[in-house]
Amino acid sequence: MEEIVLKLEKIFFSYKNLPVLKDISFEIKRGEFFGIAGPNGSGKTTLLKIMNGILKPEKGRVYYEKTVIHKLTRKEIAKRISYVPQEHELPFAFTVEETVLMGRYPHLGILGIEGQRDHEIAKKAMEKCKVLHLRERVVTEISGGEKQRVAIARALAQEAEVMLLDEPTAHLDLSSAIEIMNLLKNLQEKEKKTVVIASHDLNLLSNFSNRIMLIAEGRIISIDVPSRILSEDVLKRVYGDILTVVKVGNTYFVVPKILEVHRKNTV
Amino acid sequence: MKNRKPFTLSRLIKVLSLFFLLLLISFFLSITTGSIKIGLKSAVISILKPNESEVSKIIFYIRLPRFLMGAIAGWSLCLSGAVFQGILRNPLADSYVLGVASASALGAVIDRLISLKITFMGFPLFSFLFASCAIAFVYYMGMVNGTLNTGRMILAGVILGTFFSACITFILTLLPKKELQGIFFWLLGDLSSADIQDVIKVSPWVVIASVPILIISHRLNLLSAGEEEASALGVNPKSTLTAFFLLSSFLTASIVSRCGVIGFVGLIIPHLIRIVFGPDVRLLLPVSGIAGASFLVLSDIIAKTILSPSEIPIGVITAFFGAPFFLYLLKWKRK
Repeated sequence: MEEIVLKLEKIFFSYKNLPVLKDISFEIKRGEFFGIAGPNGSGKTTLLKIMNGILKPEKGRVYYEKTVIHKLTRKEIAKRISYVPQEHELPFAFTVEETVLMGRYPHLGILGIEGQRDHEIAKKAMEKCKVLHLRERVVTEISGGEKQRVAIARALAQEAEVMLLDEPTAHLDLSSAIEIMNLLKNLQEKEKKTVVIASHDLNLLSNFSNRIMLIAEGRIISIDVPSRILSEDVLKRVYGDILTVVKVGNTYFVVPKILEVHRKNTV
Repeated sequence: MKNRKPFTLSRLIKVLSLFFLLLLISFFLSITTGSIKIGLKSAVISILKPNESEVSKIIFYIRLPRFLMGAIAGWSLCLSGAVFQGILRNPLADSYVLGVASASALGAVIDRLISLKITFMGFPLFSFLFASCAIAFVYYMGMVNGTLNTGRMILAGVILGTFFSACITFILTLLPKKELQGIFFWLLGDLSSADIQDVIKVSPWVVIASVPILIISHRLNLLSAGEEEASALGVNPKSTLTAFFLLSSFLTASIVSRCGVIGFVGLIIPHLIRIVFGPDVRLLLPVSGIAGASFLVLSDIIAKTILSPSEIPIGVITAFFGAPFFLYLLKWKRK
């Protein structure tokens, strides 16, 4: 069952006169774990915002299944695609539960009041993301990893099929980062979510993704399975000749070449 | 606050009834105090059975309109203050700080000066025009590369407010002396001249602006997470922001053109309510409104009794409470 859930067609975008995305076309399959990799400033965040219609591309189209995304209302999009931005600071002291309940907004009636079912869905989302014990805590007073899990729980409460996440592990220590990635992998496998993650951490992405798209300076360099993205030839085109790939067990890792040189010198 | 449960209708009703009780108390205080003391018992009797007595006249022609005007003004200022705080994501915002109140006042003064009296069924169009231009300008000043810098916006609002006050002072110097005292008193915030006609003229506009604000209030919760997150959660940020800006300028204009500039109420009350009951606007807005109504009525009681028989403009009383509170927030309570 290889159905296409999101499709981008010849997308161009620039901020003021600075081109950010140039001729981007790709498809995301239903239920896959899709990584968007690239150096800082390569256009990952912009691309995610275009994928859920927050930004409108200058040229090109985004399709959700067969519908052009800009023909949908914000509420209709929110029922299909959730988005976890890189930074999310709430200025007011909402509790974890109140924050997660905000994910129910697209499903609420005109008065915006949650019913029994909304509370249950939010509770389940908190359970899955292991933040239920924090439900009465204030979001401004929890750790970075916990905040990220709350944001994911809110996205989960949206009951959208596609989840877009921008650098979900950027400010986290290694163990929190792996916990977040495991959580997302779990959501993909058990909840049948389509997970799209933008990150500059190639090693983390390659361990979890079905496919990775490598972009640089707003262009697609390659879209492929992780083992083929992690090759010196591909990486050279983005980062220059400074990286090499090592294999540990069945997994590939990117490491700096300087280390190799350094190791030879010290041995 | 610890152990806070999320918003439910029953919680809203519980909290609201608490504040309605406070409003009821301030109602009785308001109709019994003043230059002529009226006992609680005779006040209740003349309300239940209006008659031709002196007491009844004082209550129905002077104190009741004054109470109603104060309550309506308090409701409106706190509602618009809480909305401004939500859309600007900053607890230091209100119509006074953002210059919107001064803009409305300038609009009203100009309207009076050139005797245009451009009103639509009692609605001060000129005042509203100035208020909405002011908020649009202040918002524009606060935008830096597509993101809103609320610090800049508040600074721009304070400066704009000062500028408008200077404009008003300039206009006042052109006026003949006998008109001056009246306008001067009105400008500083004044409920003493409120009559039942004012109440009848203002209240429909307050209802027209308040009902949509309360209905779409939940969007303000989402908007306080930022425009992009709000739109990812299903809110159209541009149209929602515009609606909130217009509705709260509308509220401000309809109050300021009647009661003058009553500062800081819209800042203090929503802030205190937020600390105690949490930031969910579905509770915060109506509760702040009722609490603000009570607060303004109580402030008005102070205004009319503290130097009795002469009166102090209510704006002076609220500024005495509000300015230190604002400074306290600015220095010690910012996160």
